[in-house]
Amino acid sequence: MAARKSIDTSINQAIKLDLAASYFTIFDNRKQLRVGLQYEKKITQQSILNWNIDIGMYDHYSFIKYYDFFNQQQGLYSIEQKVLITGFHLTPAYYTLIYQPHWLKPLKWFAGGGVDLSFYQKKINDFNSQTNEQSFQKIYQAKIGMGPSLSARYLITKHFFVELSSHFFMRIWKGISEKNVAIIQSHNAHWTDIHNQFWWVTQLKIAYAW
Amino acid sequence: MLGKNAFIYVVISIGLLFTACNKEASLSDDTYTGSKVMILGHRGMGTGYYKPHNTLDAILPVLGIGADGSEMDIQLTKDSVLVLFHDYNLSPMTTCNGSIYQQNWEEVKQCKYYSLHNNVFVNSVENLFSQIPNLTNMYFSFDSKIDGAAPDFQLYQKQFLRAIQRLCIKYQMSEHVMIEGDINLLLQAQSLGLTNKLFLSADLSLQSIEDAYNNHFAGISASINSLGAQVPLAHQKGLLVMAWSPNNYSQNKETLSRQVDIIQSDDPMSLLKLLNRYNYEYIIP
Repeated sequence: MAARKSIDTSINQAIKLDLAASYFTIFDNRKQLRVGLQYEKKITQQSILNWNIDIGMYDHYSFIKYYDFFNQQQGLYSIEQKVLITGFHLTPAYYTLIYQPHWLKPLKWFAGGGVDLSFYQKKINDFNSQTNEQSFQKIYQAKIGMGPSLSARYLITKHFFVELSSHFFMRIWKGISEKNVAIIQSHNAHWTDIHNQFWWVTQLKIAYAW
Repeated sequence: MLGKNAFIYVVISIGLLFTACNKEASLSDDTYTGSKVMILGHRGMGTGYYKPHNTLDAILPVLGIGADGSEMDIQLTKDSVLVLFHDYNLSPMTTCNGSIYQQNWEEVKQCKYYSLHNNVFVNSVENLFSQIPNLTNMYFSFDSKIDGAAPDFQLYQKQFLRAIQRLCIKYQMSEHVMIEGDINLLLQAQSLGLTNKLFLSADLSLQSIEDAYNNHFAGISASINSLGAQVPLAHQKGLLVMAWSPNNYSQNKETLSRQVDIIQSDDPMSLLKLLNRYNYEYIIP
């Protein structure tokens, strides 16, 4: 049993690159440019600590809404909103080894928990074509979430492994610079509930270990 | 040899990428009259949506994601309440039986959809309107589902139109509610003094264009499969063309290229995204 749960002692530290960082904008007409990096350090034979940073341009898009389609006098008008969101997520997490099948030694399952500390800057540029008015707004948001994590990794060679990890976070604090504005949803998440109270982050990483 | 092949593949891929980008750039939401195409969800989020169509659960999200409004199927209860429902019989889709025109609203509102989601009931149009913020910024197309089996059809048709008239006056929506129907219904609407835009439900043909033009209707509501080559002729006659219902990305693009004035889409998400008209801040429940 002890042999089954032992971590490969040759892995003391690792650096990982998140390959899934931009997957959810592929089918949308918006831009995202971000990078996710992670550093891992072994604490004991069965537990590890991870520090993840995800940083970049999270969202860049235009949203045009038209009004008064049948207005015979003035014709229709539009309000165009250009949105740019930049920021970062810092996610420290603790994992413990929960399962390593004896018939597939390179595969390891870990469970643990993490904290998601995020900071966003959102720039909004509005243009009203009826009044030719332009307005600009800048919003800052900090948010902290906590929750459980699950991770599976497969060692390809002594120095390389791939890892799929999933984190489910619950918001425990938020701070927004402006009053009466909607909370910015977590852009590193592939699912968010409608109240932005919970979010789910999945990462697919390739790692170099030593 | 492998390196040479790889190089050729890369060149071809880049070429295809640029071709695709150019194609996207040529897409426009301009209409023949210089306006912009109005995007409506078909029965809400479209017939492929996972929640029952013609319900608050399907219509509120399409307004949230940025659509200009929604098409919806409308019927009238025995006590003159307009309800959102497609079929003439309640039984295949809900826990109730019989026709809507034979029942009062108190009975119809108990009808629950057979759905994976609990507590989805048949809704009234008034209930929907009362829950939409900035209602007068939205547009709705009422597809009139008048049951031909109703005993006094002419009277029933009049009651139906008067119910629409009352609702539109109450919510100041006459300019924002379009009515789709056959020629008899639309003529009846004119004779009752409804000021809504009237759309003749028909294939887009020389005959339907003549009918709509001669009767001063606003336009024609036609399936995308029946548009043919008549869209420019309808426009020349001053008629609007409402097209239903492209149900995927490529059909949306094809319908856009026909320069119709209103699209009722079964895939409103991809159409709105294509035209930078999607509200990414809205989270679909």
